[in-house]
Parts: sequence; C-alpha cells; structure tokens
Amino acid sequence: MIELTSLRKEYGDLVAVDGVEFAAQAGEIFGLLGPNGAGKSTTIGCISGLLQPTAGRVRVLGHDIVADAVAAKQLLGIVPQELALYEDLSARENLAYWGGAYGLRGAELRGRVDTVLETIGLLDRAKEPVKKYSGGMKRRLNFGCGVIHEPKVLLLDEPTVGVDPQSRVRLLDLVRAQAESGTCVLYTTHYMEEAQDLCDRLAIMDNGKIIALGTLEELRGELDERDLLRLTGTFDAQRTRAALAGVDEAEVVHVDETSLMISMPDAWSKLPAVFGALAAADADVRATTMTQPSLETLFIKLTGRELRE
Amino acid sequence: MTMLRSALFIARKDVANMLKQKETLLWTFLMPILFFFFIGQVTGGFGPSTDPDRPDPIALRAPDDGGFLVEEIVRRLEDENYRVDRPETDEEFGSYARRLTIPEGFTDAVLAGTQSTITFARSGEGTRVSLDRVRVNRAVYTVLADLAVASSTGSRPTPEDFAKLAAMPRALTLEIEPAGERKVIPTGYEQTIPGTMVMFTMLVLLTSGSILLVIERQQGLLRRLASTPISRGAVTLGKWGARMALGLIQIGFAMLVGTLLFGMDWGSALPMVLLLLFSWAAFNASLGIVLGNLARSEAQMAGIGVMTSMVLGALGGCWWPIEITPAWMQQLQLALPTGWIMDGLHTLVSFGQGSSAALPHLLATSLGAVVLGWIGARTFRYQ
Repeated sequence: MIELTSLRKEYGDLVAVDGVEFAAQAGEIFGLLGPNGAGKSTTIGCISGLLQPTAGRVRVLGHDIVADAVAAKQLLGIVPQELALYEDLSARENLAYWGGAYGLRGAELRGRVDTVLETIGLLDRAKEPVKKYSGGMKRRLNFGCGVIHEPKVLLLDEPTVGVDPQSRVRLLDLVRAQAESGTCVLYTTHYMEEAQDLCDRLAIMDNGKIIALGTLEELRGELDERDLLRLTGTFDAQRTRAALAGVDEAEVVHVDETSLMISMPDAWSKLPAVFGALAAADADVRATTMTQPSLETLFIKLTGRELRE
Repeated sequence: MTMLRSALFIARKDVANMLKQKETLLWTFLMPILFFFFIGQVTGGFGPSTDPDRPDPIALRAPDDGGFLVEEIVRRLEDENYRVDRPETDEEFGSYARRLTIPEGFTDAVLAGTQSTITFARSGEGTRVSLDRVRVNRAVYTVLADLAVASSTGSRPTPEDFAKLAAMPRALTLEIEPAGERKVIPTGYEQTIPGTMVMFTMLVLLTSGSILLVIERQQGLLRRLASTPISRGAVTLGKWGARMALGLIQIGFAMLVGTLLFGMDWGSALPMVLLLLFSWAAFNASLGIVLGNLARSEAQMAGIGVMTSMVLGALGGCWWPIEITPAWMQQLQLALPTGWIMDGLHTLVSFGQGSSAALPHLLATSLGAVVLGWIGARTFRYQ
C-alpha cells in the first residue's frame, strides 16, 4: 500500500530523515515512534507531499508522491497534529470543504459528510460553528476531515496530543475502525502505551533513522525479556561500570554522575548483588525504580535516552 | 481545466469564508458608506459647483406678484450656474439644500424705495456653503447695480430697461484666459466616493484578505491543503481569485451605493472606469498574497495592511484632491499605485477625457498586478 525507499531529507547540513525504509499494508496500523525531533513529522511531510524528499521515494499503491503527485495524494488522507479546521465554519461545512478538495461533489459529497458526521458523533451539532466545540469534538472533526474521501492510506501525525483520556479512547476506536475497513494506517506518536495498544507493527525512529522495526512481539524479543533498573544518586561512571561487570547478565545502558540504568533479566532477584557492587564502587543510591520490558525500555536500550527527553 | 476548476473551488470557499468575518463585512459594506457621507458632506456634498454641464439646484419661493425683478434675479442665478427650481409644496421646498425666499410685492416695494428682504438658506457646512453665499449675493447685487443704472434717468425702471442694459456692451470687462486645459478640481462626493472606494479596496484586501492567509498558515490549514490533490498553482490561483472577487464585490457595492444614494456620475467612459477598477482589484489581490506570504503573525499583517493603505491612500490622493497639494506631492503621486488609479479616475470621471487618456494608468496598474502576482506565486508558502 505504502512504501518508503531510502527516504532522505536534508535542510542544509542537517539531515532530518536519513535513509528511512518501510512498507505498510492494507488493514495494518503501522506505528512510527520516536521522541520529538526524531524525524517523524518530516517523514510524514515527505509522505504527504508537503516536503520534497532530497533522495529516495515514497509510493502510494505504486504512485510516486513526487512524479505522480495527484494520483498518490488522492489515495492519501491526513490527520495533522494541529487542528486544521476553519473555526467560523460548521462541522458540515468543514467536511464539505475538505471533501471538495479531494474532488467530491454533489450527492456523493453530501452522503459522505452525513456518514462521517455520524461516525465521529457530531451529527446533532453539525451546523454549529467549530469555535463552539470542545477540544475533543474538534479532534474528532479533525479526524473526520482526514477520512472524508475514504483514503486507502491514512496518515495520523500525533493525533492525540493534548486530548483528554475519554476523547483519546474514542479517537483510537475510530483509528481501529479505519484499519478494520481495510485502510492502511500510518500512525506517529511519542506515547509508548498508545503505540503498544494500537499498532500491528512499529518502527522506532531516532535522529532521522529507523533504529528498530517489527511487530510488538519481535521488538520485545530484542529485549530478551530484560528488566530495566533505573537508579539515581551519585556515581563514578568508570568504577560503577567495573563493579557491575561482576554482576551476572547486568548490562549498563547509561551512567553519568547522577543516574544509572541497568538492563538485566529478572532484576528483582539480583537487587542485592547490584547494591553490593554499587557500595563497593562508593556509589550513593537515593532512589531505584524497576521497569519490565516494554517499548520504552527498548528505546532506552537502543538510544540510552528516554523517549520523552 | 482541472487546475481552473480546483482554483475556482478554492476561490469560492475562500470568498464565502471571508464574508463570514464580521470585520470584512464592516469594512467592505458599512464603513465606505459612512466615509462617503461624512467626508463628502464636509468637503462639499453633491456635485461640482462650477461645472456648466451640471448646475447646482436651488429652490425659489416667490409670490405671483413678485414682479419682473424676480425674473432678473433668476437670470443672474442661472448665470452663476444654478438651476432654479420652483417647488410647489413646502415639503419639497424644504428638501433642497439651497433655498431662496423672495417676499410678496418684491418689485413694487423695491421700486418704491421700501426695504425688502430676500432670505437665502443653505443646509450643511464647509467651504461650499460660503461659496454659495458669495454666488447668491453676486446674483442679487448685480440686479441692484442694474437697478441703480436704470433709475439714474429719473423714470421708473421697466423690464425693457433691464433688457437694454443686458444688451449693452460693458464699459469694463475682465477677460480671463486659462493657461492650459481647464480642470475643475473634484470636490465633495465626486472626490470622496472614488477616493474612499480605492483606499478601502486596498485596506480590505491587505487586512482581511492577507490575515486569513496568515491564519490558515498558522493553523495548519495550508499544510493540510498541500496534502490534497490540488496543485500548488491551483491553490495560489484560487487564493488570488478569492481576493480579487472580494475586491470586485467591494468596488461593485461602492459604485452602486455611490450612484444610487449619492448621485455619483461616473462619466461617459464607464467601460474604461470599470477596467481601471478591475485592474485595481487585481493589483491589491496580488499585493495581498505577497504580504500574506511575508507576514509572520496576524497582528503584524493587520499593522502592515492598515499602514500601507492609509499612507498610500493619503499620498495617492484618496483623502483629498491631489490637485490642491504642493507640486512635490503631485509628482510623488505619479509613483504610487493609489496615485495611478486616482489620477486615472479623475481623468475619466471628473475631467471628462476619453478612455485613451487613462490607458497609461490602466497599463501601470495591470503590470503591477502581474508582477506582484508572479512574486506572490513564487513566494507562496504552505508553512
């Protein structure tokens, strides 16, 4: 359905996207995960045709987004992070505007507007200006405008940023419904839990590159079911590394003067050995947290940083 | 064809959206009428005072026994370029801005040496009122002067005496020859309506028109539009077309109101006037896109729009007739787009010249519209 090949985007000396490659299929929810500045939005910009790639290709059902832009864009729907809506227009007028932009006219357009209004639960307030809507209603309408023309590929760029929990659940249900109807969904987020719950496959991005790609199970497999131990206090990096080398299967992911992260299987049972080693290295531990394997721990393992940093 | 259809779609939706903004409605439809009325009144009201083709109306109330001196006064008023009407009802008489009342038995009283009072009333204020007083006084004084001459023979003056005096060559005459082509400086509504229309077209397109573009960019609407199958060219053309349409709506409305409510006469070269105003709308639509591309915020755009239209309006002759300003200002006007259009309109509407006289103005404005349109398309940005 959608295929990215060696996608690269440069801004002068800055490489925002560096050789990104993946493909997603019909009915699949493909997550693009990464911290702010990882290159997700630039990748979405290249896919949607807003940005011209420096190199590489994006194809939507075989249509190149640059060479065959009109055909490719006709198959794409986009739900941007910002509320790209005309505040003085009603929900019906907004949907009609964006439907019209994709070439829908007359009875077909009216029919689609009614269907989408019902789907997003705004049929009873369809005539009110958008400026009177709550944040959650606007988010749903923002989503509706992206699917008004029944796209084959739907791009969602962090659609749940700043959304209350109830609206988020409703929005995610709408995304699942799109995938169930056969749409290929490309979903970017920096919320790990959301990605874990929603996505069939995931690509994790950092510094413009994909650093991991696969199903949730495949990515978890890369962690070897290892827990992540996070400690804060005072550490001497060199002595700490040396001391922990003696603890069975302990891998230091990150260490600096005030924090330490260790990846290890069954960390709970090995805590005495860890603390013993740290005491020998004259470390002063003030707080300890243990996290079981997740995308978050995978990201930390791959980059040495937390996703929200 | 697809591109044009898409551009038309964008333009139609944009116009509808702009006309939903209260500010746009206020500045497009309401404020120009208020400006027409107030500035037009202050600077002279209806029509020119010295255009022989369009005499100023004056209502005369004179009794049937007024005598031949009443007719002499009427003749002198007509010489002063008044059209003397004799309304039948008080209501009709009161509706005139200039009203002259002559008492009963006027001629008999004057010839008998009895003091008689003629009353002149004038609505409004400003220089035009003072000028009317001078003109009416002159009409009455010349009758008195001829009366004095006719009375010098000792016999009672008759209408025939006045006819003889009128036919006699004047012993002292003042010959005035214009140094060049005579131009009556437009005043009142004739200056205010085109001036306000030109300035407000610029104001609306550089504020409402450009601000909407800035808002659309800030809210990600243009980015979303970029992801649709509508080409960049069609988007730009549509955005330009919407602003062009808004400009034409404003001009059309101003012309209609100017004609119907304020009696504005657009002259005999109306097609050229319309062409000129069409090019003006195009010029401002292009300028609006360029400034909308450059502006970073709504407030910045509002400031730029108001400042640009006010300064160019004042220097280009929208606020007052450029002909009354110093020579350097008249020279400067020729370098400004507001100056091109105002000079062109005065040439056609006030000075009654043919269409070809405004051809340079039309070419300059059209060329400006094309160049700015090209810059606007090149600098158009979605984000």
